[in-house]
Amino acid sequence: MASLLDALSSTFAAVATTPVLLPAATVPVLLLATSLVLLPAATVLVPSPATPYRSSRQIHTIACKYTDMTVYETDLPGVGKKFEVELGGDERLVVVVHNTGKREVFRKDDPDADAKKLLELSDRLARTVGGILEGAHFQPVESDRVETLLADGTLLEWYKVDADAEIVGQTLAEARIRERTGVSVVAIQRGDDLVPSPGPDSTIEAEDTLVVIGAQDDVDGFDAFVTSGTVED
Amino acid sequence: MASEFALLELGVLFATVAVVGAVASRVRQSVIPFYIAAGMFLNPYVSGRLTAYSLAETEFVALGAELGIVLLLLFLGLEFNLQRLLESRDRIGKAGTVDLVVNFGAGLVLGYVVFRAVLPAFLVAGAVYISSSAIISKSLIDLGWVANDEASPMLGTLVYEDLVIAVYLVVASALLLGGGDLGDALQSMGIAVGFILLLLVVVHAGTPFFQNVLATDSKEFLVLRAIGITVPVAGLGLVLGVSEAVTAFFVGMAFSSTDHVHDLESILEPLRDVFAAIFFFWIGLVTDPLLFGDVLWLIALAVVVTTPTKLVSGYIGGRIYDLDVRRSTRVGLGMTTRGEFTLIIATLALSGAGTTLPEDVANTIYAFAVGYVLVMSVLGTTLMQYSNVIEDAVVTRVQSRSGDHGIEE
Repeated sequence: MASLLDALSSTFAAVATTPVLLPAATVPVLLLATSLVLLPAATVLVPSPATPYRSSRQIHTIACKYTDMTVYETDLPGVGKKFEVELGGDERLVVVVHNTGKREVFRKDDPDADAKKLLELSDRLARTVGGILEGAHFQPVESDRVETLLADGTLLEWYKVDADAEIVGQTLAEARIRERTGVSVVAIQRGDDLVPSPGPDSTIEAEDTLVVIGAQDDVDGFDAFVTSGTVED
Repeated sequence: MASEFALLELGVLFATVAVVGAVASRVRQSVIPFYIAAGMFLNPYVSGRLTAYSLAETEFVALGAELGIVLLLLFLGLEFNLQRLLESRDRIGKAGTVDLVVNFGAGLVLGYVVFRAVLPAFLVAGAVYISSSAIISKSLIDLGWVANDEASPMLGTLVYEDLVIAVYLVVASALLLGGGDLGDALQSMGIAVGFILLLLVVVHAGTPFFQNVLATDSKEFLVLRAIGITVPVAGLGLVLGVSEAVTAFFVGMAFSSTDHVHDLESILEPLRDVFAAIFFFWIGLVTDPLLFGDVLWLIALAVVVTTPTKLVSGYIGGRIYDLDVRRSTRVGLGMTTRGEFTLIIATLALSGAGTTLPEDVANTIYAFAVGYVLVMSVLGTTLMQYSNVIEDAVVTRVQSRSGDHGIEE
């Protein structure tokens, strides 16, 4: 390293014959000037929102409000991301997803307590365990409502239709689901059969599972249609 | 081919680094001071004086150390995200600015009082301001703090420091490598800023280019292409009077806007670790510990002044993030560690020796920075490990004070 630096110093030595130290005021001015030049230039570099690589979310905690639980997502620059899941009561489950793919799972007795590490998983192992937890291999009870977050605010959900729900016996056209709620029915699951892309004349029967897609709020509103009782417009 | 002993000598270097790295992790300390100490122990000044054998600074080790700097800064650029900084500029901005004003300010005053000149003060300020991202991030993970709320202000402040240090290195290298008077400094800074602006433009317009160039299924080609772009550009930057560190940082930023950033991180990490170890070892190799004798008072003074300043700025940073007294104290304790960037500034100071800095001043700053990092890296890691004792003390004190306050009311 010294040789390169020596070469450099000698290049500039021609310019700087006498070492003169700068007056006190110049350094802050120079620093400010450089930052004024550099900062706007650096903003140019920021990837546009359309960039497919999405590592850039807020560094502060954002709460994703699911129907009955809160998941806090926090960026950990240089490390990865942290997810905190409320477990009921004060308990919280903390999952740290490292940039390297490693997952660390912690438990907090209450939001202010120190996290206690439970386990550490490799990327591959975490996916397998995640699949098991999700019920990909075995589902003990059929849940009434399953949801998948497609993109920001858009949900794909499965709803079991109650026997005495208002829309039982109606066609999709009669039920006017899209008009009244904003969600679209993309498939109907009936027993072991699946009706993909149901038309306006497809009938909804009791115990059907409707696969719907829509914005978070609209999907929340749709909940009332599949449960007992009538719906007010 | 090199002489028949060259490979064996390099082997001694790597074996030593591997052994002391294992020792460091056994005693739950950061590896950085251990690498430096190992290099120092084997150098001609220590081992050479005590025994017949010592490791010399070969050109390969010197260049390897330079590659270490390039890769460290490349990673900083890869992980740097200006958008993230802008999105939460409120809290990061406040915590980071407090950190900057308190610590850089204290460093400026300290440096000016000691050296009676601005450029040395500017270098000392940078050296004591910048915390060690590498050591702090690793300690956060090792201690499990990464899952706690204190991780946000700590990592956020480090992001802010990274931005400041990028600008700082541009200014510092222009001042040091450029001429002695203001006109020359401005001229060389003009070249430096021009080169960086050019880089930024190429980088911004070149995202599709990097995207294509780095698109390959072969790990071999990916690593070769990344290195094949980074090293020549950094080298060109150095020739033009911009430090290789700054240039590598911007190359890293360029790579970070492509889809390949995660692949690059995982594939380049081992390479970075190898060359960063050479860099820390090299620092020790070229440092005569006897020099510490002359700067011991300065190191002690800086430790006494800048440990509390980081504690205070970290504590305030924690409070800005709405953390309680205990966690805010923890943020302060965690931020005290200084490491790799202080050493990069030390290396930079050396490059101005004899031209922009009087030789003895440059050597003093260098020896000071190395000794300071040795102390602060061990001290910071230890403070984090025993944080609960200190936290308890602080919490009790704050509570009793607020209790007294309550009685007065």
